[in-house]
Amino acid sequence: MVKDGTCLEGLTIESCPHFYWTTENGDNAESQQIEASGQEDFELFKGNDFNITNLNFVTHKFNCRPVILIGESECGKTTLLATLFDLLQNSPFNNLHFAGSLSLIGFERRCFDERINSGRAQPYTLKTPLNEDIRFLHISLRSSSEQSKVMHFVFSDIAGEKFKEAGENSNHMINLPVLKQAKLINFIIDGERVADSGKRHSTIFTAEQFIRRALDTGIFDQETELNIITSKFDTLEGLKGFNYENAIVDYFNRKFASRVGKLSFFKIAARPRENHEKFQLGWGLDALLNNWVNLKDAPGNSGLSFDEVPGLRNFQLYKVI
Amino acid sequence: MTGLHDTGKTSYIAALRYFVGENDKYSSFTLDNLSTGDDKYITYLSNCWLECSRIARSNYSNPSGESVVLNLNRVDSGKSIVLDIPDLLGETFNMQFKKRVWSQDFYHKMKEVTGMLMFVNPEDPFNMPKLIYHENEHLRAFGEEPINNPEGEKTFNMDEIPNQVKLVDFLQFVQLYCQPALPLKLGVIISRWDRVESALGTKVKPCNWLEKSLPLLFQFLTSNSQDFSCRYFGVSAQGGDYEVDGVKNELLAINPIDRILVKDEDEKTNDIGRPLLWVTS
Repeated sequence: MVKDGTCLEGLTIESCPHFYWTTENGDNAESQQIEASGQEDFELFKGNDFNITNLNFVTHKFNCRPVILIGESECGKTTLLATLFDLLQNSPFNNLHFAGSLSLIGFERRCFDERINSGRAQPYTLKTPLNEDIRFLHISLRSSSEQSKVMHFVFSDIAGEKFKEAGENSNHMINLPVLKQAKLINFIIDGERVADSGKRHSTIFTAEQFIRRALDTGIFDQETELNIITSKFDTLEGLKGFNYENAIVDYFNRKFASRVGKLSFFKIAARPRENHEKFQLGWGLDALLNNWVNLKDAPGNSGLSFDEVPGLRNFQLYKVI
Repeated sequence: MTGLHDTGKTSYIAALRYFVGENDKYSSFTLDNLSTGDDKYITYLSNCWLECSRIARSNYSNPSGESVVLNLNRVDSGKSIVLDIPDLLGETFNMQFKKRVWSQDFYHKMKEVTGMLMFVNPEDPFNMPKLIYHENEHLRAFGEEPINNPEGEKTFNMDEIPNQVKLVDFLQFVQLYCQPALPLKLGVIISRWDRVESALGTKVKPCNWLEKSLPLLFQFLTSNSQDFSCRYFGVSAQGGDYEVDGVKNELLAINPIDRILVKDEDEKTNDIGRPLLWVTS
């Protein structure tokens, strides 16, 4: 769009049929039209989490590292994200400094129930609603060791019920294109359920079934890097009759190591039970962050476009000046 | 000048106006010619400051409805500086955060800004989040029971978001929408510095205080140095807490200029124009 406000074909903003771009809300051109017509307010980005439609608000600006978190309902996906953000509010974490986030309010919503202001006696994380689209949160971090290196991460926050549907039905699995696009998958197994002898086998079976279905439908393949993360590990520490190496590491290695590009295992206790000497807030997140920091950036503008959005054009990359 | 409510902007401007007008010999700035313009509101603020009187909240905003503006000249270069304070009350800052809009007027001002002073109140309990997890740990460490009498669970609202998040959010607006103005010189002013020193000792530096007390903001600023060139100042414009018994009379008994304290790295001065001098150089 040249400076006089006309396009290459000589049409004005209002009459050019191809002139619009996606704002942070996924709406077409509203904020820019407000500016162009001289109305009162200039709209700012909302700061909430993103969905598949408006994620390009972030991915068009930055090369982003996608971090996909998946697992059963209440396994700890959202708690992991909320804890990471709250830890950064206190200090740099694992030699990583907070460098910004276009989802500050999205993070704050998830953190609220961990805080005194919530009026709660115990920290809590609200369940991700099933009826929500897959949501994404953006955060950028700078490394202490490489001062000039700022890394942009996009975290997915997928409702556990969507995970369950996908594990049980291949059609639902195929409808999670985010899993196909992302090369690194973080699969979270609920450590508290594993600690419960009545639920242990069914929990591990559910995880196995999901990964098997994802491989059989081609959602995961030989290029997939799969992290299997056992959450709430404070509930498993020292548990009689449970051997983590046998029950989790050897088991999943035997089943899937040859079918994926890389299979890694992590133990975390993002928000452990209080009064536990060994486990502090964010336990295990440092190793996980190191893994994510070594991810390659997705190429700009194309790495995370999970859906073809009608009308997307290259000129969305440009802004009127 | 920007910052949330009750972060010292009014005291700063009041003291600055007086200092510049009365301290020709030492000030880095002089007042612009007073033959034009309406200084009624700034004069009112300065008088309140001189009398050690708190300004009523209803009087925080300029009755004319316009921004508070102070026109100065640098002594060293003769360069004119317009110090524009569009939101003395700090309520506009909060409203922008919640509504996620700027007025067109504000937007165009921000695109032309060459430097900014951001004020922070060190005594604001909402600067950082307080986690239930940590609170219960502290209570246990002192042999007390963890929180067990909640006042009632609340739902999330934007007012509960910590100040450091709001400040980062604002600076991200500047980054995203005010590109021509970048890199921007940003003076971070920690107000009520006398109380910070009372609590932590006189050797504490403003940047170190910010790193510990608003860590998210500090990390953001150091990670985005290509967009924000920062310097940190501790400022006490009032010189003390007027509400504390005896303090007001002590302050009234001394030269008003001697009430001012500015900490710039390791150096102390009563030149309240120091932050402005740096941000305009």
